Amino acid sequence: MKIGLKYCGGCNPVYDRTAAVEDLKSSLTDLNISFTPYRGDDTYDACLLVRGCNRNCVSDQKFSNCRRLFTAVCREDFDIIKKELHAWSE
Amino acid sequence: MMTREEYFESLRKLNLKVYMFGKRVENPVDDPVIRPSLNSIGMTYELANQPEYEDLMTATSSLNGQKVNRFTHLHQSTEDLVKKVKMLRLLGQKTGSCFQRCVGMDANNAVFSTTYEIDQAHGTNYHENFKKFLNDVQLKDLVVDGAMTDPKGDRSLSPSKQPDPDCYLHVVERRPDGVVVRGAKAHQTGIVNSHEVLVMPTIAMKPEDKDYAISFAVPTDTEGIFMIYGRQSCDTRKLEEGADIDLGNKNFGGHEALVIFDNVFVPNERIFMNGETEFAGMLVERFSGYHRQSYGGCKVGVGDVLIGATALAADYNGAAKASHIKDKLIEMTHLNETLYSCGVACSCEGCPTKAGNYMIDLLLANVCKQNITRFPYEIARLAEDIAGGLMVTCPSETDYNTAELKPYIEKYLVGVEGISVEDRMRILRLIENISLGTAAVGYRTESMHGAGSPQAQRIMISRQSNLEQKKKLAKDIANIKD
Repeated sequence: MKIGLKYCGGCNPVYDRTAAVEDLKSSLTDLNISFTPYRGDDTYDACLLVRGCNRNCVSDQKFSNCRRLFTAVCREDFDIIKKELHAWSE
Repeated sequence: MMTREEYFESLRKLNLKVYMFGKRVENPVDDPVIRPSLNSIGMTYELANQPEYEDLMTATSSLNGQKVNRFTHLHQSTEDLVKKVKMLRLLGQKTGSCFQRCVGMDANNAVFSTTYEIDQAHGTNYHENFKKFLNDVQLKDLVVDGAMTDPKGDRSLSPSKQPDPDCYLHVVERRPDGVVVRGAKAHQTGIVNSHEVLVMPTIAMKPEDKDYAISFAVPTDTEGIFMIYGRQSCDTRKLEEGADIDLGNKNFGGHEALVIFDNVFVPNERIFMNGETEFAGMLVERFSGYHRQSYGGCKVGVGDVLIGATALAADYNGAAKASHIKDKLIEMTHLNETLYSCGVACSCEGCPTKAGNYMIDLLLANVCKQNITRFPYEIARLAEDIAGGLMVTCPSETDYNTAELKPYIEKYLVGVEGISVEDRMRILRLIENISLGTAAVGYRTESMHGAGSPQAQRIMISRQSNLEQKKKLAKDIANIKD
């Protein structure tokens, strides 16, 4: 599974975005997932939009080049995304 | 885009003429006094190349369609204007100091739209000249110093009436292939770390000031340009062997310099205004408007660092649970976020110029900067209140590292259990650095005078206050008939 990884700009994040992503990656090693930086002209099985807070600086409307979009706005969201990715890959 | 290391190497290729402490600086890139300011601009390159920051740090160029550093970008929407403010806050957070590159971005956007309107009025070719220049800046990812402030001499006299005509930068010779200029630009933020200098007039002008209505860009190592580095409070601490704790912020800083233009030749293709005095005021107003918006981002980011340092100082002192300390931290946050609100608001209310790039709302940008002339001072005052007197009476790190003194310093400067005296000293020195050390140049006095002194904003606020409409509102409510 190819996941496009898109970060907001991180001007005032309420959690450590990169650490959360790294933890998510390491918790999904049992799945065959490759995380790659998101590009608008590429296609993905899914995209992960990592916002540092609940503001809508990067709109989720722009991700039409993937089958599914996961959005995180806080650390707890990554636990939910982890479960959803496991369920989705089954 | 360049990497941080490529940026550093690109500066080594310049033959800058820089003077400091009475001597020419042979290697500005590696000079210990200058280097922290270079590192701050380096951060604008480093973050632009990281996926987790690229959404703020980069944009798609309207000139060439390439992904470019946002510092070289022409704002294409209100979203771009908001992202600019967020980017500046981010960089303030990452450097705790002035990162210098915003002034070129603001100059680029102001000159872009003004040259378009000069060409419409006069049939000149300045806009195309400027687009070629900026396209090159974008593709090479260069740092541009936006140079506006003339020394100004006797402030009661116009440029052409000054006893010394060089008090305002002006044309001294017109040639078929260009012009020769002479004068100076003061307080030039980041000039020693810049590839290009983009010169603009500093005030609105009258027809008799024609030779002073000049805008152009030249490389910073052009023959005839030299810089005299501005010294900062506590700057020579950077020259002390092994200096670290006492610097407060070892890796980052800002700088300004007095830049002399001693008969500098400017080729025609690099001229963006040449005698069109009626557009000098427009250019000044637009540049200062953008720059007043900028402070609603960068100062807020540095404020974030200062608030964090102050909260840590309270933790280390064992005072964090005191209600008045909590309340003061709330007040600092309230002031800081009010500044940010102004930066975001003037961006959201922006509008397109005739040239197509976006301008901020001038009234709100001036309100933003007017608050900037006050709130950082109050934030710094509260930081000093919470930090305690030790932030200015603490022994030096040399004393701390002296065997016979260290046990006493460790014994008597201890705070809460589990926090080392060294860490306590580090956070107090950081507060000192921002509130009255080298970074105070950027956080305090630059907040007062950078992008225009307070009265300049009040004049702009007055012009745009729409007082007649407000009077009408009152009359309507009070049932007063005209």
